[in-house]
Amino acid sequence: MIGRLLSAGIRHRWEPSLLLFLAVSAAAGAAAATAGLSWRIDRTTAANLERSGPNLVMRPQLEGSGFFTLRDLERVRSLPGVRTAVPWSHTGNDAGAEILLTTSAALDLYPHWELTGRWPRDPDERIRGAATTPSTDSVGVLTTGERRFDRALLQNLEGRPDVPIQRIEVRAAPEMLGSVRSSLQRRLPGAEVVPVARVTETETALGHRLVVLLGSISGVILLLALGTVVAAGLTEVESRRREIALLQSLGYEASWIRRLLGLELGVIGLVATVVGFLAGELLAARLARDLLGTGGWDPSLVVGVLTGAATLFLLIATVLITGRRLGRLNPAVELKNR
Amino acid sequence: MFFRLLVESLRRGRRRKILALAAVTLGTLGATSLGALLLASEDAMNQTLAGFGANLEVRPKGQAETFPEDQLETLDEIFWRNNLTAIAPRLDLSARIAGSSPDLESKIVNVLGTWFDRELASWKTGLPKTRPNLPVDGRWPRDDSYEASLGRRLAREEGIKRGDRIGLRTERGREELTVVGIVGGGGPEEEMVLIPLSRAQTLAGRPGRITGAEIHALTVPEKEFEPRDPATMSPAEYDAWYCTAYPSAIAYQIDQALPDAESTVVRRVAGIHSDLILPLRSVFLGLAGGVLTCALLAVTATLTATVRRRRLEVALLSALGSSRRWIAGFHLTEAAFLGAMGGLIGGVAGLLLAQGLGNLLLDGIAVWKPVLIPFSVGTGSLVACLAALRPVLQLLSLSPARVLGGTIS
Repeated sequence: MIGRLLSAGIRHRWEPSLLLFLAVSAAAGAAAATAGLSWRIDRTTAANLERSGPNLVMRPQLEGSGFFTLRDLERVRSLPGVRTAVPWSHTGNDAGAEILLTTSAALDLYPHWELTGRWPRDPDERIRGAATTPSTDSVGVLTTGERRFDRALLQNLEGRPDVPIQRIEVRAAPEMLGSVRSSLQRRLPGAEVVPVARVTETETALGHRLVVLLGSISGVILLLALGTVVAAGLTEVESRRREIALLQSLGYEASWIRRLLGLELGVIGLVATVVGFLAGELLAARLARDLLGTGGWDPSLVVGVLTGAATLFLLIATVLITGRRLGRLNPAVELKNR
Repeated sequence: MFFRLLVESLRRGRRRKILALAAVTLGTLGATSLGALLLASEDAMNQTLAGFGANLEVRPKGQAETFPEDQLETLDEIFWRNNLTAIAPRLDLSARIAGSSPDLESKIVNVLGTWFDRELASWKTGLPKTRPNLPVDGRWPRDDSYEASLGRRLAREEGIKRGDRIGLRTERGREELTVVGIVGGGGPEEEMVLIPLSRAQTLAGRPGRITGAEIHALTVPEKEFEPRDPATMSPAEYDAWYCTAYPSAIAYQIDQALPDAESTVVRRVAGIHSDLILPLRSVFLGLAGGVLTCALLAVTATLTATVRRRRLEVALLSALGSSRRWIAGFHLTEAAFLGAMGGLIGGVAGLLLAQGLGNLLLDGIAVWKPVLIPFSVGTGSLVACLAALRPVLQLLSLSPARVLGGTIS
């Protein structure tokens, strides 16, 4: 009996049911899309922050030889958690321009620098900073926007074991920063390994701020989504006063009517939530692919279950609250002149 | 007549009206608070990104080594002056340092002369603002004082502590300074002496001159950092570029203001700014679109049900001779009024919610954007009208005789 009434109710009132379905699925979709995007943007931001430069700087011990060697550099590079390690050596000046020796890995560590031409291969070759006097012996021009490098001449350090390295800049995985630092200190005893505050503190602050921002936005969207579900549920129940009055006049008890309404809204809500969640996740995946360049279908089961549970809970709560009031309505008044 | 009926209609059926009003309020509340948060989010991220350092550098034009310090004051007159959040001039030189131990006399160190808390026109700025994450044990020197901060590594190497006096000597001058702070942070500052600009100018024998300046400006992310030639732009392109806070546009205006200097965009900083902000902005816009759709559907669901319940009223008005246009206008005006009311309430509540969240979670970054209220009222009205349009048209297609005769329940 209840099943027949349920299916007939949805079939005969397909338009309001569809609107309720759309409202609930839009709410669930918005919540799922926000959660999916938040998670993906977090991952993308972490990947983009890899391009912000070194987060550790190594300098030789003050009391020791005063420099590193290429062998030391290899030991640094082989350490787990080290993404890039770039040596720097200052060997003097030429016509007022500082001569710096490094490897082509500098372009990986600073991906926003622009090199026109090519990286020097032979020891005699060099590239010049964009603000130096043009010369014929340079094989490339480096533009950084920073005075120190734009006014310098850069040579290749690779394959020159005789050149003393005064500094090694390291990009380590942020989550392994502490362990990489201690491993480096163990591997090269006496070496001074210092986190670059400019990078590490900004990255930490950015991560925190992003989490807070996305959390706030998700909170507002969730609030809106839940409000939508409540409003849609209340409207649906309110628009069926006559139907309820008719059932009451036929002798059905208020609890039975509440169960019927709850079941009907529950079925619509459940299907709408599943559809909304899948649509939201698809939207998040699509937006992530188009806007962030990351992608993949990667729905979070936890978000889905939470969205579904919250939606159903609200729908049933709505029915119970409204149903209690409707249980007290007078069928004679509601059905008068109908 | 029209308005009397409208007022009466709004007074009656309060439960349904409140439900419709609540739906619009909720939708616009979400949209407004989200809009305010999204508008503030870029400022919040920009503020945090300032930790990476200056995004613009100024240096002497051509092969000149210095330019006048007082030219920096003209930066307070450029179009984007309010976007300049920090400026620190610099005068780089090498000097011999004498610390507490006389045998260290021969050590040559890099010295950076700069401002620390200098008043420039109407605001105070200096190196601690352009490099906000530099940790200092002690304090920064006072401008124009005989004080210095030493890099941590240099201080350790020379055995100098806070409170010690050091001497700096060049061919052109000598200064005795008190060390008031030890600077760390892992950067080049670790091996430098940082002193007030006026002291550096004396040491370098270059009074009133600087070798460059670093500037942090709030910018709009830009994909290309190449200096752009305005001569190659159409007037519309030029206006759009000049009036957008792109790093290149601000650099261009700085170039115009400083006759003896040129500015460059620091790619390391501006690049990461673009990398982070551009995807975030796209995602936030996508989210805003999703929320607006969600709000629209919620309002449509509620208003459709509300309007459909009024078939008897519509039939009665038709039977009394009201034209279809009049009836449609009446219901749409009522919906627009409800939408505007809901939009107003939702707009104000949304701004308050965003403000609360901003104060609580975003370190008080300004999220109070009253400009969103008209948007909220307009959106509420528009959404309510759109939501009411279809059910009103459906009701108008029904025969009054059949509705009033009770054949349609």
